[in-house]
Amino acid sequence: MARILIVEENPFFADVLACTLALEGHRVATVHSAGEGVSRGLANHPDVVVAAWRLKGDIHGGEVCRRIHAAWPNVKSIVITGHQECEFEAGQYCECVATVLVKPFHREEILEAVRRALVGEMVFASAHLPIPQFAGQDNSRHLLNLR
Amino acid sequence: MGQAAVSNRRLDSPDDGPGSYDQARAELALLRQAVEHLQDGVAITAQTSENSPPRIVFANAAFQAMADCPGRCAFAENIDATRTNVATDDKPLGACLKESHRTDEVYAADIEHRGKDEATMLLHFRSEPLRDESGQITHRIAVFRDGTREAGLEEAARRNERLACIGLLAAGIAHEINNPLGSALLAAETALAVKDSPDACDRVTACLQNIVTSMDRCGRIVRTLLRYSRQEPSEKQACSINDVADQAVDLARPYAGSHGARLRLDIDPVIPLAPMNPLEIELVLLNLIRNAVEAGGGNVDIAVGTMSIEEGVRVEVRDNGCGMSNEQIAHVFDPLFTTRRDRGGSGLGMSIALGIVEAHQGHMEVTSQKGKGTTATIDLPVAAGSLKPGGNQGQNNHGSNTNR
Repeated sequence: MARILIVEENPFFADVLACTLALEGHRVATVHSAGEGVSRGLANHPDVVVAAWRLKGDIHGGEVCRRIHAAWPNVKSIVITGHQECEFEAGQYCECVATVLVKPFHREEILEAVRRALVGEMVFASAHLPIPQFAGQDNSRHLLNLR
Repeated sequence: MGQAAVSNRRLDSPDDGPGSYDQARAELALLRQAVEHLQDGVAITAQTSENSPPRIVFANAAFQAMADCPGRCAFAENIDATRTNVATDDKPLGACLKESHRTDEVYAADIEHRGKDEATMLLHFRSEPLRDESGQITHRIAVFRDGTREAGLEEAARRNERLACIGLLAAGIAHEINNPLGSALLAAETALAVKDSPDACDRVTACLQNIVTSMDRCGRIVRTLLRYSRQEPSEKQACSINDVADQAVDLARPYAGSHGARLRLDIDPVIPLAPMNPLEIELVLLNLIRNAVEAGGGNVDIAVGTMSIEEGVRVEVRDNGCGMSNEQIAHVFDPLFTTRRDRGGSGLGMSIALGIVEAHQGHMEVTSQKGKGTTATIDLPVAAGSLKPGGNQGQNNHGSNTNR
């Protein structure tokens, strides 16, 4: 099982996310700010970082992931956000961000995102984006491969 | 009306010859037709002596319709203004006409008038004296302009301004609400996943507690949004301006970010509580931040700062955007003044902000330098009415507008 670092300033969300991942057998550490996220990530070399995009402080979750990835290039990250807009910004961090999940997301989605990150699959998922309706097109949930 | 006076004199002098008499009649007919077709109500009144009631000597069709007296106020049919249904003291139209005769100057008033269909009209009334060659007032001309539609437009503009703020809030609120919603969803699914395990009880309980807290948070966010949209009466409570500024910056951050603006919060950690309606002050700050973001044209640094001042607290929103000229800044608090008319600005944000600050017995100042940026400063008293004016006067050698 994996070592997962959660960087999320909302304590209720961080708790339930940690609980969800721990129940799958992962070893989970939780911090609540960008600064703590970077320092803990650099010090402990997690397998996967799950970071909120919006964090108090000067840097956002994407930057937290990039700095950890610069020190430990094999670390894959998952960005979680309440804003669909952030999803497009997070595209700039596709080197290290495997997946972007827009809240609210299902338990199975985060578990699947962790599984994919662990095998190095870089998938930019837009689970809750409104999908444009085109005649004759399959409008099932789509995944956008950035690589 | 100068032309009309000339024509009337010619009518009085038919001896000038048939040509000029006919010409005068034609001119008068044209003028009458023009006045009859005006959408504004026009009435010419005369008062023979100080104690006698003013008489309506002319009223156009629009006035007759407003006064609901068709045919009774025809030209030259001298009607006692106080004896018609338009002119008793409790009828605003008549009262205005009567009141206007108590002055030799222009008399203007805004009145509410109930029309014949019982609909309330907002009338802008303006009466000017008409003088003869010796300068004596012979008549007064009164114009009643229906301002009901304009008032409706202004109300609509105010509503739009509030909706624009709610639009700005919506991005922040979407995030605020997605957090507890996401938390509750994960907690519920986790509870379902573990419910059959041997130690399920404690885990399920923890998940249920998380759901309850998250849903409560959702409810509070929705209530906040509703209060913004309803404009509930202002209730003040002792609040930390730091908390209010923090909340406003938090809510505006997504909006600022999506417009390329960088938003910073510099708070004075030791600051007294001040009586305020936190929602209203937050709305003011959101407005100021929105102005700063839009002044930046996609690249601006915005700092929201708080500090203690003598007998009060100060919060300021400073940007390094395009700034305003001295002429623009002189009008910054005027209702309907905007530099963003082409982008949907109604010009009411700053006047509403000022109204809120004044309702808190506070002061608001905007200083700006074209091309350099703008700073909006709000001072609020720690005890109602205790703030000394002039807290930051003399610091600025550039354009400023202070309302206190």
